[in-house]
Amino acid sequence: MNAALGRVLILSSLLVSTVGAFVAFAAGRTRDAQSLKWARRLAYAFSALMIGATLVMERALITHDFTVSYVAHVGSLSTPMWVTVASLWSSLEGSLLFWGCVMGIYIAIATFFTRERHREFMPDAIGVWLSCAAFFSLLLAGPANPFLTVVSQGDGPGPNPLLQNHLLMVVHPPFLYLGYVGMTIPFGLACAALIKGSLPSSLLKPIRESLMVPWVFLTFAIMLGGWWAYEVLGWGGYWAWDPVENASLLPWLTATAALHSIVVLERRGVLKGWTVTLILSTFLLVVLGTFMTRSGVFNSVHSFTQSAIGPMILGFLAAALVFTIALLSMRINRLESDGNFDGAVSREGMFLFNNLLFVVLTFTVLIGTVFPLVVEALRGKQMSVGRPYFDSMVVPIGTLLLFLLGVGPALPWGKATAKQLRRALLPPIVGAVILLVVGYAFGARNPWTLITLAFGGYAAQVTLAQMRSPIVQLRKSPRRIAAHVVHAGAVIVIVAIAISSTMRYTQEVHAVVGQPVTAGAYTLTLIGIEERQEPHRSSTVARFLVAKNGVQKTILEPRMNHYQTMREPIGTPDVYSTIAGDFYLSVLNIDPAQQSVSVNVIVTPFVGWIWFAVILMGLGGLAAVLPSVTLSVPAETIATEALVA
Amino acid sequence: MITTLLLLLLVGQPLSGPALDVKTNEVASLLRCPVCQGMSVADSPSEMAVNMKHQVREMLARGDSKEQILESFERSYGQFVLLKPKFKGVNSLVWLLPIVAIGIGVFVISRTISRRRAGHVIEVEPVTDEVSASRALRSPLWIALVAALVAVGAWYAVQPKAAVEAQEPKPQPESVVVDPAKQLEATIRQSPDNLEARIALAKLYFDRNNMMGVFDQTQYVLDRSPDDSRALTYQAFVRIAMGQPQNAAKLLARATAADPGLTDAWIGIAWIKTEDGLPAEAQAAIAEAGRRHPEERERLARVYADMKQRTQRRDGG
Repeated sequence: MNAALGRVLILSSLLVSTVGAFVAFAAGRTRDAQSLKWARRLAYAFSALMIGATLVMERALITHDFTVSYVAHVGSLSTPMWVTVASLWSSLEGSLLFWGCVMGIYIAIATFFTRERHREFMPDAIGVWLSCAAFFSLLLAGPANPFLTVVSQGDGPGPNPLLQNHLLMVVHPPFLYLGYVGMTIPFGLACAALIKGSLPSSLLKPIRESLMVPWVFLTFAIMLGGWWAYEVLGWGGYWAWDPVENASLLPWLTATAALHSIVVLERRGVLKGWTVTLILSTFLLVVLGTFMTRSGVFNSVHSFTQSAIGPMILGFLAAALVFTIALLSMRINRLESDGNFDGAVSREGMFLFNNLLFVVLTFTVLIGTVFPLVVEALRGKQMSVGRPYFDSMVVPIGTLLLFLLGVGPALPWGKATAKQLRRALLPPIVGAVILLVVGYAFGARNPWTLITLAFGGYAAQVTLAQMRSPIVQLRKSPRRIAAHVVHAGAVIVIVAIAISSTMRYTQEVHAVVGQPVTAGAYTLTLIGIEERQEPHRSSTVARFLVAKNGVQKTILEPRMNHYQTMREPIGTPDVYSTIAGDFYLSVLNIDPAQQSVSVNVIVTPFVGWIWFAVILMGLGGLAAVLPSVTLSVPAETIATEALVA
Repeated sequence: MITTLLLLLLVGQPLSGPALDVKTNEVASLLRCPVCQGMSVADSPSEMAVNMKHQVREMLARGDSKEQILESFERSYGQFVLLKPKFKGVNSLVWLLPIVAIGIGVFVISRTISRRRAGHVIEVEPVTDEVSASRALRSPLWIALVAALVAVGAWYAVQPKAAVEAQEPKPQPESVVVDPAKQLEATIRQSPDNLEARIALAKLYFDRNNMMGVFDQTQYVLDRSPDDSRALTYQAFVRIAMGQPQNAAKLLARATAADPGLTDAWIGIAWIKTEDGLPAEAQAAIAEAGRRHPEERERLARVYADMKQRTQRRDGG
């Protein structure tokens, strides 16, 4: 029953989104109010159908309806409830369905918030949104249909053990989808602006906000992915420059660049075409990322979702690329600016360099990610581009960005006199020196780390000073304060990455029950080894007593988890986190007969700051959107009242 | 201390103690673990990576320089093993392109600023009204009908390929089953749906030339999990033995599509191509397998030589 209902809902959503896209584009040509009304209704209908289909799937999962192919594939009677619910995004078909659901929610919200506005642009925007929606409905109706009817086997294998292994893996994908899918909305608006050949300032607000929301989700998603890798994979790092990690970073980089160029556009009326290009690239990189994750072209930890839908996504990517390039080449010269620049040493000049660095960073990561594929395709030779390459390219660019993060906000808009420049740029050097000295005192010696500390101190002082500056205080501008909060988070993240990656310490330790072993300032005592049974897995746990400088700190339980569906056990490390740093134990080998355990001890200073600073960045981003959404109507009313008066 | 250390390295002095640990980690982080998924030898816990790390350690202890060690690994594993591509040939592009991008960017920015400062304003064309679509296209009903047809057509086009993708955890090709067939048969009697056991049993049967057994076990697995690459491969082997190379080729194509890392599937393809008298394609399949599993190259070469010899003997006699 669930399967048939699901298929009907998916097919209807395909029908509704396709018809809706055609109607919307037609409304854009004819400017017929009635057609636009219908396009909106069909957009809501698509949302309702997709959300309905997802609810049907959740019902099938929770009631263990093994006649639905997807449930037979990932369901299991023995998994706990949270795993059962999260199974929706544990494998390809379900995650695409969830993707469709998220798209439905975004489209419905965007359609609702623009109901009385931007009449000229909305038909084309809705047309673009529903075209993307139609493509994903088509994937769901065809090669990735989760609602096929199969003969029930009474039970199923359960989702991928990696998903069951840690709660972070359960929350990471939804955030990623919320980030990825949301980029469709600004893409549609930017396309509409290009199609109409104009980008009025009234359209900038919806573009900025619809870009900021998925940016926040993507920021969280990237952090959660790194945190998951750190907590689960056992090598003590959080970022491996894996192609799939890069896939999530690429659209984030262009979206960040776009969020900055919009500021210049709002302020000075320049960079219209450039901003639109960045938004279009963001969407294309999202589709590229989907292709990378979903097609299995890369050999990576994430390729358990590989499938035959790769060619279809590649086709969609090609179509989207041709569409955007054609649109840009035909219309970009119509979007020319209303204002001009006053020189390189100004805030807008720094915004330009910021954009340059973000784009170069995107380009470098993109090249490093796809280069091995291209070489393999063209010359048949396999090669690798890995962490050492990315580190050596990205560290200098990242450091320069940190430099701009300090200098940019310190500079005034427009032309500045030499005196103004001195007054703006000299005082923060104090902050730079303080952080440099503190870092050196705590043992930082790597030159890049020292430079990062100096730039970080500079940027921190500028950011704090800006937050307290009279202009921001007077205007009570939540957007400005939010921007500085994001910047403060970014400074902490970059400094924490520099410290944690250059000052970490690892040691392999072999421990026998009852005999203390030392690793740096820490002493480890293996208390015992025990077997634990859970319905969906069994674990071999090593219990360690951890002491630092003779003072007992905690008990850590790194373990090996065995799942029925996996031959190799999955090791799960255990971490003792403090503000100053983490003490990380990862099991290499457990020998219950000898009562001995080999563990990798990894001491990483400052690493926990990354997660919390990213959360700060995300909250700052949210703050930039939320007040303006609620205050937008009064603000406009005030403006009109002022005009009338 | 670091400078003296560097000096020592330049002349290739043997290392020991903590300096050796640090240097081993540094060199190992530049090498890719061939059996893992994009991890470096330094980070990977896999057996192969541990062995390679020991190798690096020994070479450093012997006094080899970083460059010598990287070169020696490149000789045995190919440039695939270097995580940091060399500045050589096409690979130099990966280093040059970002720098070129910076150059172009700085040029564009400086031009933008200087042009804008000069007060140069670009003439903007007025946006023309675009009401040019034909009358027929304007009727909403027509549009809806056409769109509906497109949707149905697209749905129809993607329908036949619909298949439930089996996403069993990927097999570790190098893991060898040591359990005897009896034990596996007992396991299967207890839990008939233990597909892993059935596949292991199929492999064992195949080694013992019990083709009916292989057929039964793989058929059982494929009924439940139609895209299981190993079941497909062993089923294909039976088909080859039954004299159905066409069927076998189809199954193997599906197997390699589902899991390109499965060495046995490539061997099967090579087998069919050799039988068909297409040595070039057979060699390509073997090379593909070797490329994915460099550590198995020797075995693959042996298997392939054996394969050729058998065909020649049969054709000759």
